[in-house]
Formats: sequence, C-alpha cells, structure tokens
Amino acid sequence: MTTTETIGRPAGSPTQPSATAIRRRKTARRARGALRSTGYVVVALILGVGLWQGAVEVYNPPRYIIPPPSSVWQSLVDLLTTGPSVPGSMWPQLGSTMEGTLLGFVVGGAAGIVLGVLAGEIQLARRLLYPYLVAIQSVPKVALVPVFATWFGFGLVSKVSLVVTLVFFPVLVNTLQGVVMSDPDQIDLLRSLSANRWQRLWHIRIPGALPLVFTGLELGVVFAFLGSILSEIQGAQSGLGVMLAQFQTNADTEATFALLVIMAILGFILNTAMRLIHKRVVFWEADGAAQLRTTTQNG
Amino acid sequence: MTTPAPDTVAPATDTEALAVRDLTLRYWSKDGSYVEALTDIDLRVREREFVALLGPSGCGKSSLLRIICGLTQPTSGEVLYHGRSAAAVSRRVGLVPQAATLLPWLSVLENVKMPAKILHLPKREAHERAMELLEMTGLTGFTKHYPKQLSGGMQQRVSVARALLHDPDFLLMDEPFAALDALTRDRMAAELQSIWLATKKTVIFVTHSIPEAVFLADRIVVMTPRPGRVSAQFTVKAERPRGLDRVYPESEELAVSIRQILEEHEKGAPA
Repeated sequence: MTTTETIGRPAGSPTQPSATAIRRRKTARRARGALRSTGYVVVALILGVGLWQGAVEVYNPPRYIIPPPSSVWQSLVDLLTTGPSVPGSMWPQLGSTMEGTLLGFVVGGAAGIVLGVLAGEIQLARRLLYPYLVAIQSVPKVALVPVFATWFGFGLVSKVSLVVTLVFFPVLVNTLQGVVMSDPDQIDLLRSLSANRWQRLWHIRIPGALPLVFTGLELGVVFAFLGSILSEIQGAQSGLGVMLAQFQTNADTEATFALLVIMAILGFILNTAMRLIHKRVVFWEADGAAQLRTTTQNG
Repeated sequence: MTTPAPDTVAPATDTEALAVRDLTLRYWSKDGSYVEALTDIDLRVREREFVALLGPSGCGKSSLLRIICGLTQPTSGEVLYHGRSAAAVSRRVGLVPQAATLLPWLSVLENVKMPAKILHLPKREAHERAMELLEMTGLTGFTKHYPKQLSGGMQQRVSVARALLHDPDFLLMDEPFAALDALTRDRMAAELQSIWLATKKTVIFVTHSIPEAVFLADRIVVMTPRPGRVSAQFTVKAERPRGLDRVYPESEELAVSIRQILEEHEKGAPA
C-alpha cells in the first residue's frame, strides 16, 4: 500500500467537514462540558450537605448553634413560598435590597467610569483626584454608615450612599488604568491620520479600556450587594439585612441559614449576569483573560 | 484590479515627492544616556518611487519613518512633502505599522473605514472605496470577520487596505511583514508589488531583509547602525512586474554587495 492510499480518503467523501458541522460539534462539546461541570457541583453539594446532616445527627449540637440541613431547607421553602402580600414575607425585603444594590451600582459605576476616563485622559485631574482616591480606599466603608445615617436617615438614600462608595472605587481604578494603558501603536496610528485628542479618546482609549471597565463593574456588582446588606444590618427600614438581624435577635438560626443561602444565590446571579454582559460587550477579549484579572483583584 | 495590465505600470516620475533634509535625531534614553539616533540624513524620494530603507535593527530606520509620518519631531532638519512641511499634509500619508495594529473591536470592514471617520470623509464613498480595497487585497469574504479571527497575513492585508482608504500619496510601511512566516511573507511582497503597480503610490518601506528590499524596491537606501546615517544607495533595475519564481542576476549581485556593506557595518568599519 502506498502512502497516498493510506492518507487519502475514499473518492466522493468531503475532505473537510462543513462549517455548520464544525459549529454543531463545537456547540455539542460546550454543552457536554457545561453538563459535566454542573454534575460536579451537584455531587459536591450532596456530599457537603450529607456530611453536615451526618455531623448534626452524630454530635447533636443545640439547634440555635447549628441546625440540621433538613430544617434549614424547611425554612428556605417557607421563605420562598410566603407570598409578597403576607406580612413577614421575604419578597418585599428582597426587592428593597435589590433596589439599593442596583441603584447604587448604577450611580457608583457611572461616576467611576466618568471620573476614571477623565482622570485617565487628563493628568491634572489624575493628580488632583489621587489624594481623595487614597483616602476613599483607606477608610473602612462600614465606618461611613453612621455618617450617612446622620445625613440621610435610615432610608434608601443612606443605603445607596454606602453602595456608591463601595462600587465607585474598583470601577474608577480599573477604568483609569484601562484609559492610561491604551495601546501606543493604536494611538500612533490615529496620530498619523492627524486625529485630535477627542478622536483618540473616543476611538481608541475608551473602547480599549472596556475590558478593564467591565472587570471593575464585575467587582463592583459584588460590592454593591455587600454594601446593601451591610447597610441594612447596621440599621435600615427594610431589606434582607434587616430580616437577617431580626432572625438573629430571635435566635432563629434555621431562618438565618436559609436567608444566607438566598443571599449567596442572589450574589451568584448578580455576578454571573455581569460576567455574561462583560463577555457580550467585550467580545474581542481573549477567553480567560477577563476571569483571570477579576480573580487576581479579588484575592 | 489585482493584476495591472503592463501599460498601467507607471515608472517613478522625476517630480520630487519627498525630501528629508539634514535630519538629526538625538534624545535622552531612559537609562540616562544621550542617544544619537540619526545623523545628517538626506533623502530624496521621487513621485511613485518605491524606496526601501534597509539596515540592521537599531539603525534608526523606524525612527526615520516615524519622523516622516510626523509622529516624532526631529532634533534638527526638516521633512518636505512636495516642498511643504510635513505637519500640513499628514493626511496624505498612509501608515502600515509593524504589528498590523487593527482595532480588535471593529470588523474588518470597519477597520478599513476607520481613517474615513477620523478624516470626516463622506460615508458612502468611504464604504465603496473600502469594498474595492478589500477586493484588491483578497478579503471580500471576510468583511464581517473580526481581527482575532484572521491569520497574521490577512491582518496585515487589512492594514494595507486601511492605509490606502483615504487615497494618500505616500504609503509608509514599517517592516510590515516582519512578523509573518517566510512563505506568507513572500506572497505578501508579491501582492504588495501588484497593489503598488495598480495604485501608483510613493512607498517608503522599512525592512531589515535584503531579499525583500531587492524584490520590492526601485531604490534601496542602506543605513548604518547608531548613529543612523545613509551609507549607500542602490537602484534595482529588474523589470516590473517582478516574479518570485524568476531569477534576476543583477539583483542577486546587488544583494551580495549589500550584504557585504552590512557586514562591514557590523565590524565597525567606517561606512
């Protein structure tokens, strides 16, 4: 048998799979990958909850310290199924928390982006802003809660104010860095066309900064949720944090745990949504680069 | 439009298109030393001429190109386009940078049309011209692709098409094919020749490859390493269009003598 015969395909068969076939195979592979990682998550959860239930049954600690997962599950179901019209329902509280989170995120994120671009483009602005940035970064934001309470009371404005201070910083710093670090070759290309400063900012610096802007926003949305809950625990009229504080006062540890689970899920949803938007908007970014950056900044 | 008929082969005219006079570039480098990058550069380029700036890395050929496009200010001397200073006419220049430098958030078509946005050219004309150029560079099927999806050679073609969009008189190319593999590089050189023959631009082509310079250029300007100065100039007489599959004995000899000069430079012998 000659080499050509070994390598060659039988006559008539396509030498290359069609584009649709390749795409279909890619989709299938991705679906299989997603299914497998979901499988691992499920197994891990079953193992963890099983260990927890087993430990509680063996050592039998007081319920107000560690409740068994079964009764946490019961509380969770109660929380989720109590309709918004019933007094003591979780849903209006959840709405209140989300309102504070999203409002603060939008305001803080917008302020961070605008000032970040400004400080990135104009050196004078950067220098004047710098001491304030250091100050904002250094102050533990929780310590601002009483100040906001004095100014704005215990309503939405106080909550949003805390969220804004938390979201603002990571968004601003990342935006600034993105604008400052734009590709010098791209800038030169525009300069060779006699582009003015505004054109360079609009066509290169801002789009070039988007990957980092979204890294900032991904961090920001997590901080926004955190800030909302934090402000509620410290004292507010409504929100999941207020509920949590009440549960703890009543030593209702099952409900506390159930609420923590709900908060974890909400945090996950917010983060995932932001990641998806990031991937969609900054579609040109290399796979994995974004995630790596967010992870390193979080840690 | 890809392969021009022989009668469209326009030789360089005698009109002086670009003049570089007594140019020097000195600057303080980051490590604190004073660098004399370019010394007494005098260069005349005729209209529609293809000039290769050839030299080892660090000879200042890229700096010279940057000065010619107005990106760097020379310490002394001047650059004149058709007798006028560079600042006034930089729109007549199309730059092909070393890395293709496409904007990753724009599609191929949008990248090619980018100069029109900067220069406020009419949209429809820019679109038509971009489509023509993409056809000429063999990218018609890739207008909606994004740079990430293209090979290095294709990215560089987009870069060439973009540089031609505003119909500049000058095409300034800074080692445009240096990052490509040898085969792609040869093919790109052949394509560049036909584009040049079809568009009748004045080209200044920076390279450190002797074969590339000999294949493409009408005239080769050889530069010495630091401080960069013009050490020799050669005219390449081989007829156009030149083929990759043909041997030009005269050009071969030229390549050998250029190599000797470059080697002498390396030994530090006076140029």
